[in-house]
Amino acid sequence: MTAIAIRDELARWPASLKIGATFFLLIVVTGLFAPWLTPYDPYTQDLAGFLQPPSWRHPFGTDHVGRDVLTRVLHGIRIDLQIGFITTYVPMTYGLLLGALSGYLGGWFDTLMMRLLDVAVAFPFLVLIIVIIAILGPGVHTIYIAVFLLAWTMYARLARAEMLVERGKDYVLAARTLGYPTSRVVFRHAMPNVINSSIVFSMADFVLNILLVSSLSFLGLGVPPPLPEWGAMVAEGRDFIFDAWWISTLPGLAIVVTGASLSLIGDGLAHRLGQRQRSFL
Amino acid sequence: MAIIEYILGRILQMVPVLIGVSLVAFLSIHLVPGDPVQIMMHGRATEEVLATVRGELGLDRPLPIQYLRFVGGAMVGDLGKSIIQKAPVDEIIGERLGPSLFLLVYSAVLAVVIALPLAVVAALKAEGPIDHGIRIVGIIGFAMPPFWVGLLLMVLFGLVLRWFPISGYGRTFIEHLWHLFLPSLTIAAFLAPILVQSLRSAMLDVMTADYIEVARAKGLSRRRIVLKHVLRNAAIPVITVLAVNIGWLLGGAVVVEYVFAFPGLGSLLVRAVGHRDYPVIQGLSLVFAVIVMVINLLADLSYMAIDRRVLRR
Amino acid sequence: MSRQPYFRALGAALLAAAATLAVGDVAAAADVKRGGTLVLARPEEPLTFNPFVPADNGSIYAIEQVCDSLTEADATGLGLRPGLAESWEISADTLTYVFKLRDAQFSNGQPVTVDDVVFSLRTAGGPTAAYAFGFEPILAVEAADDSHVTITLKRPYTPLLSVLSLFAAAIVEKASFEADTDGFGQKPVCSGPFRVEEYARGSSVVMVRNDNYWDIGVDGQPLPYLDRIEMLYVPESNSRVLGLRSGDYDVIASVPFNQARQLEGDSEVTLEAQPIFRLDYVYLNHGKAPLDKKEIRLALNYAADREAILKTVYFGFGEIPNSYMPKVNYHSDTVEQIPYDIEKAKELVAAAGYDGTPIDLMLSTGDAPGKQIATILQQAWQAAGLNVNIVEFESGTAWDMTTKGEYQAYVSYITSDINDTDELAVIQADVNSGTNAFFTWYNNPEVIDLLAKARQSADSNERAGLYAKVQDIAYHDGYSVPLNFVPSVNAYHNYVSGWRTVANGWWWLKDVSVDK
Repeated sequence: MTAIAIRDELARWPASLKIGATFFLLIVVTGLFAPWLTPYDPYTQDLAGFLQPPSWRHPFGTDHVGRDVLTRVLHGIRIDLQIGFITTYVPMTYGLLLGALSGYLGGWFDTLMMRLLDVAVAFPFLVLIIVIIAILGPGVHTIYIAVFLLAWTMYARLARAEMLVERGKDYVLAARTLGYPTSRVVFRHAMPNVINSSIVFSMADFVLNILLVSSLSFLGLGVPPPLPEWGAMVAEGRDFIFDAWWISTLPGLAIVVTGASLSLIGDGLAHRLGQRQRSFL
Repeated sequence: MAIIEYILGRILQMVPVLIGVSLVAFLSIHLVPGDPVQIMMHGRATEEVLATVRGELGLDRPLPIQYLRFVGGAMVGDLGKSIIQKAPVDEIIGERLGPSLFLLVYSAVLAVVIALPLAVVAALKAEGPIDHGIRIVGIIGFAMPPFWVGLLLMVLFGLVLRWFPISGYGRTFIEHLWHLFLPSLTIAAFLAPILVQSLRSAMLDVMTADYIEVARAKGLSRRRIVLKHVLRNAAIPVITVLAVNIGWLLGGAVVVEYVFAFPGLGSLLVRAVGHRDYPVIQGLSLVFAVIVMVINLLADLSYMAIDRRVLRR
Repeated sequence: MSRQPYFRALGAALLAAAATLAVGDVAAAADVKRGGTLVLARPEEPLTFNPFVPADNGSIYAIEQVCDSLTEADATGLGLRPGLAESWEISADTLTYVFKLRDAQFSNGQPVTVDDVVFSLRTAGGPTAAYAFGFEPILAVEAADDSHVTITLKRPYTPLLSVLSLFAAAIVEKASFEADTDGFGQKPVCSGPFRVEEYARGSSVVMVRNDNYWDIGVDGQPLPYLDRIEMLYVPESNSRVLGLRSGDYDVIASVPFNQARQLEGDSEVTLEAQPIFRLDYVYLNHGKAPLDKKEIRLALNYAADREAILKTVYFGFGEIPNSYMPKVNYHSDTVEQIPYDIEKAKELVAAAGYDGTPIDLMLSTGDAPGKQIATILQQAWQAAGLNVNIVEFESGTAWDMTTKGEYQAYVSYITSDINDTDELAVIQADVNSGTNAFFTWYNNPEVIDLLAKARQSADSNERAGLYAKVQDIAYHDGYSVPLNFVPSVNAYHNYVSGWRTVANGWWWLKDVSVDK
């Protein structure tokens, strides 16, 4: 893309997309430079200086083993964005593929996929995650596996529904008449139209997944210590919520800010991509 | 008649799904290391006692036999007996099903009550400062950890103002409403923002649709247009959001259940897994699956009631 | 698993305790207030009231309020006093015990008969009862006449009186139990101070006064003082503290340590920190490298900054241990503590020729203090030159791995059910006890020898000396990494009197009264 093309594209961005993207970029950059932004290490404890309220030395205070909360929040950016990214976009990829194929092919494949989807939707997520954690132990990878097994369903549904619409459109029929193979028709021609609603949804999904890890941490099923993951920090601080509110509240704030930027991006993308159904959050 | 055939067909479709869910639940829970009898006896009982109790519970039989026994029982409505509580599983689940559903319906109603006016304002003033303000507040409500919201509400309404009790369920309908207000509000704080945004989008779409222009041209007031046409069409996303989330929240409300000491299905499930109470876990998986499917069916039926074209497609 | 031998020669201390029959030190106001309701919020959920279905503390503490046994713990839990048995006689060869039953009634008005006693004790020792190991030395339980029950033993067994005070030895009404065994778990018929009026699984138990209870209060009237107890299951500790402050709850059990310090400053509330038979410690699996080396195990002990842990995790509640087991009756204060000495730990690691084999420090999900402890220990042990990973497993899985020896180090605890050192000394330190020295595979022939001697001795001074020696050896062998003798921390409003946690961890609610 040339500079002019980029400028034109940016000019077409709605305000919400610009604001959201700027914030998100800031968060990413902060995460990348986290080790150089504070003088502390996210793991080093100072048992003598535990539960210190926010001050100039520790703007976010210290936690229950004397670690600098700000440092841990900043280091947590990398972990949480990685978790959000992987738990959102990996299932989205095959969810889209399966849904689009299902919608395009119909027949027995569609029926099979839909029953499989029903099982995945109807199966209680909590049972699945507890079972997987009981076998493998808690950790980022365990969460990935559980989410991978179930989270594709929303994308498959969206893609299937869009594909049902696209399938009947003139250009697909034309491509078929010309004798192009099915895969090419689906993935080269219809897919770009199918994918938009999923991209918009993925912004909300990203936040939901970070929140899911936070909920799992509350049940002790999140990432193991001492990893500075936001949800785990929020959960670890909850016993101290009345005497040291900052341990759990400030990482929570990080989730809110990230969520807000993603939501704005989602809304803006919906505008830009001309989606009928706008942002999901 | 077509509608009854449709419903029957949908119910028939549930059967293979239930078989799939029960099989996955059964296999996965038996894959997990841990022995319910050993856990129940806290590591003090002798091997002989452990073996005897396992035998009494039928846990020493081959897995396929155990599964068939479970399916056989489930088909005649017998979900077995809890290993640790020695009470019928359907009774144990039944006791909590009512409160859990009450909590969710209450939360959904509160969420709609909160979301509707906000969404109308946001849609009418789209892209204005009020719209953005509503969005930001919504995101804060949505992204705040539920236990945090719950404790905050508890401190404010339970401890400082003393308007609502901080736990319990109550006996009468009115008492349920009173006791469950804070937990429901906690869940609604999560649901309402999603609803607001979906509703707002839907309303914006409808407002720009042709027939609204026609209505406007006919001289109908803005207020009447919103009430009559826009809201009716906006009901679809509301149903979608609620259907997707209620199924999930049935088990996922466990955090709220813990904070408010509320006897719901989520905490029952966590406890049952901790004790490896196989019959309870299997029973719960089936119940969750049925509820999710029934909610989806109800959602589809209400789409039809709103828009008959869906059925034809 | 655990077998009978460690009960064998419990010895004079217990007998002495039983003989003196310590009378409860209930706040001895003769004008004690009667009536009213006590609302008690606990973090554990009662699962069943059937005393023969082995249970967790959630059930045990509730059963204790409802069911009676032949003997019972006194107000402190350190001694015994007569329960449904008014008195007893022991034959010269100590093989025959004859118990004289009290004239008592069950909560349904039926008299407590010798039939009920014989039935209950036989069930308690039956083939599916978890605590059956305690009843194994019993040869027979028989009715002697209408008011006497005879228990004959296979061999001398001094802890019998203590075992008979266990919740698992509760006397149930035979007719009700047999008529509906499953239903009994929901609505028991026993002869304790309270009876279950309403049991809402997963949320609450409502107990009301048993008007037929036999014991007499300080005012000369029948116990209990309270009319009603609402025992609520409130798992979230913040919610319990809030509920106490808002007045929704009268008593809360298990106050988190950080909030306990705050509650201490609240003038309307009394905080109780009562020592109980509990030790928090890190289990070590001596069968797994590098923990098979004594130097490494000692290095773990030297590197553990217990002062810091006591301060940051327990907020000063508890006592730094000098033992591998809880502080039960033969505990020795003279065993020297292993100090915090990181340099010494480094030397030991070097001396052991440590090859970098990582140590997985396991904890159960949801164990918040355990998580904090693991986090602190990981850093400390890494500072000593060891590779340490924290691994978290769901508690059922963690327990399974522990019992099978598929772990290295596990942050956990142990409690004693009985007021005698012998139970845990043998279960923890004797590798032949059936639990592989409580899943440590600790094997020191000298210790096993000393324990056998202590079991055969009837002289309490001699036993005290032997147990002290075992304590010294096992502790300095790096049996485990002991962290804290943890007290039970509870809080109640000042209008509650007579509240006291007994050493076994529960409370006698029959001694409690409220004056709102």
